[in-house]
Amino acid sequence: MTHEKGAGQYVAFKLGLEEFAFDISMVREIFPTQEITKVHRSPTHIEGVMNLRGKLVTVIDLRKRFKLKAKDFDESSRIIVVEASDAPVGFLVDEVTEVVRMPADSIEAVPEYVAQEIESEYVAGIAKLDDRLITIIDPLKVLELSTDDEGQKGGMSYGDRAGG
Amino acid sequence: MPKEIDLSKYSKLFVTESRENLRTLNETMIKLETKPKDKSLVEVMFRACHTIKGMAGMMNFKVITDLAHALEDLLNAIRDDVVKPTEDVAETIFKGLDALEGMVASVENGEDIDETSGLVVELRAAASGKPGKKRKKKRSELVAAKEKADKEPEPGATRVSSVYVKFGRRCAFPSARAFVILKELGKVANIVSSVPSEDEIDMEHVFEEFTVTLEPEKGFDEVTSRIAAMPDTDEVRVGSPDKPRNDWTVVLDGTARPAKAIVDAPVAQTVKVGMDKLDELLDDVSELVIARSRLVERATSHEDSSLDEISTHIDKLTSEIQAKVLGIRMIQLEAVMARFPRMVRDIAKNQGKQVEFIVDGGNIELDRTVIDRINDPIMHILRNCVDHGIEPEGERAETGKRKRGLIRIVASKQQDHVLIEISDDGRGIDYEGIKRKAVSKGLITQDQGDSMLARDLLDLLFRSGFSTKDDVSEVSGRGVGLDVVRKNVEELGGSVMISSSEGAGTTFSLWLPFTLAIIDAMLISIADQTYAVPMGVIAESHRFDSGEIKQIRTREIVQLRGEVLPVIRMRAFFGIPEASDDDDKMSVLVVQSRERRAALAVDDLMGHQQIVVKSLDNRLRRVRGISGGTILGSGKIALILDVDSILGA
Repeated sequence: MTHEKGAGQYVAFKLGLEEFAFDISMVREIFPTQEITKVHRSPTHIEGVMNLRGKLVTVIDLRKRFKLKAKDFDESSRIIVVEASDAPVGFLVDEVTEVVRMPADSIEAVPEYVAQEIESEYVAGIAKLDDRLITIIDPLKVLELSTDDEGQKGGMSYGDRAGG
Repeated sequence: MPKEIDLSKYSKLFVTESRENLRTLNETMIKLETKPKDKSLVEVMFRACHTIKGMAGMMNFKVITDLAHALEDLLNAIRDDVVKPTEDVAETIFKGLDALEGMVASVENGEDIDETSGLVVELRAAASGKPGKKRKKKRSELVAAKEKADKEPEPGATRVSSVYVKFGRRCAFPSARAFVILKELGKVANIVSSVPSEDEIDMEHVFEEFTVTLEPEKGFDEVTSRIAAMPDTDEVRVGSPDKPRNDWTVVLDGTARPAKAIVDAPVAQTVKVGMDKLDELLDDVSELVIARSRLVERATSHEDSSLDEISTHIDKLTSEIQAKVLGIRMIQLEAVMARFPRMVRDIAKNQGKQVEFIVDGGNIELDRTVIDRINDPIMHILRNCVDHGIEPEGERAETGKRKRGLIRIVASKQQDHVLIEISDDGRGIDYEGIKRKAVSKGLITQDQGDSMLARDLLDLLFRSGFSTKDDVSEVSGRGVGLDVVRKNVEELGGSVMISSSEGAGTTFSLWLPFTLAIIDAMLISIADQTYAVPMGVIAESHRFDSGEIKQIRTREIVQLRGEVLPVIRMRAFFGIPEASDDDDKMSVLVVQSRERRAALAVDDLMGHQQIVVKSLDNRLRRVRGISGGTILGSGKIALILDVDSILGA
């Protein structure tokens, strides 16, 4: 439980040099990358499915989702599992840096100019912590807004789909 | 005073028990329609209704209590020959049952219960029969007698009294009952003490007897008689704590209640478990199965005999647990079938037809998932039987048939499948009618129709949008057709067949797997990834020389025993470049779904295996070519090919 009024805990992670964070209450667990099974003809930002204790969990590549340059995953890559409305969903990130407590007054609304690389709808706020700038992302918004985009190469487009 | 207890904790119990009783009421009412003179049926209904009333009273669901009470009065009147169970009366009773059903659903969903005073009035009117003095008098006499009985043990204003309750041996939650009793008594009396005490009840000890010492106030008698009406109470006595219990007034004597006497048979020890828990358990077991194969793999590579021994033991235990968990998920077909008699009756009535409905084999067990998904298909077929099969009375009379049509559902075990046959003794399939309709809808040409075999004509029934009845009636409308029936059944790995003989009736045969969670599949590989293909859609596997692949315009085809099959290259379907190695053989699965057949070209055939089917989430559900996945012994995922969508592409 948080004690200071308005302070929250966040799971901070990196995509390239940028730092992002999810509200910890939305994070179910964090895994080192394991085998992810590719699902052909799925939207490009979907990396595939993984075996989470016997359940098939969809893994979304946040880099691709945010249209950043693709990168193979490595030792430090992590999958952050978030509880979406219908099922748990994994987010593939470059590295999880830490769990940080951020007082509410360190978090600012999104200034227009920051939302350059990623679409601003997902951004819940920008936190300034010492010399770090952390973009707080609402993972559920990311899912919600991932409703219609490119079907992958290979014949048919897959049409639109429920996003959660 | 008893502490505030949360009745909502018990509303689940209320919902299940009420549903059971409503089911009894519905079933018995249908029987009563055919045997209006059988008083034992009325007795059964009366008891079920009385139980619902009692439980609703305890839970303070006044609207339900009132309705159940009115229904009970009507049943009482039928039992006492004051009212005859005519068609109108039956209709009113069914209306009442439907309303109760709705109320119970509201309780389940935590919604407010709708008022139905109109229905209560209607039931009351039915109970009093048509204006007739004799009846009215008799009824008021009954009421007076009842009231008198209720008032009998008039307690003094502040005299200490005791209430003794003995629970039936079948009572699953004595502590829940005891709390409810305490709460009820607390409203009309000052509770002095109880045995077991409140704290002891809280510990959920198992007990059969419950005694409360209290100072009764106004309304006390009413509450004790309500306690007597509760399910699971076998005996209720009220008296002074100073006197021996045998001298106390008997409010309810269990041995006198026939219902309890009948069920006083050996009782199986059972526990109710939510299906979600079983689903979770199955997930855990699947995980265990995977961990097991990892362990076995490790153990065999280590040449450590004691490790080997442990792993063999765990291997065996895991298989046993898996089999048992799958066994627990099996439920009786009865669970869905129970709803059909009422439904068939209603549809038949609606169309002015008379139908006798027979169910056989309801004790056959299937996986819960299968049961859930055959409900709609069976319902649709039954509608079809009443709608298209059974002739109107006049027509039946002309052909020398019984006035009343017959519809039967017979379920039976057939090796690794369950066969459910739904048959009617109606007019049979009208082949000419099908042909006319198909031609007029442009599905086939007249020439095609003329050369079609009966079997192929029957197949037309399963085409989407096909309906031989010109006027879409309330029951067969809604755009749902036999095509949906077939699709649902095939999705379960089953199949549907129709057979019919003119003038004698039609039979629908549904072949279903016992369990959905586990299916037979062929494992194949495409671009180093393993996929599973349900055996149900595979006709055969074959290897073709590259020279055998012919080109017709832009499509590749192969011929197998004269049959021309289009080739679908799975790599191309998935957008993967073809393998560069110039293997001059092509591995092919001949698959079929509905009427379409094709040759799926894959990289390799890896063998046949049973797989546990897992679903994909919403984000992947609409991806073409994939219907789900499974986890292999290695822990790796194999996606399941959705042959239907691949053929449709």
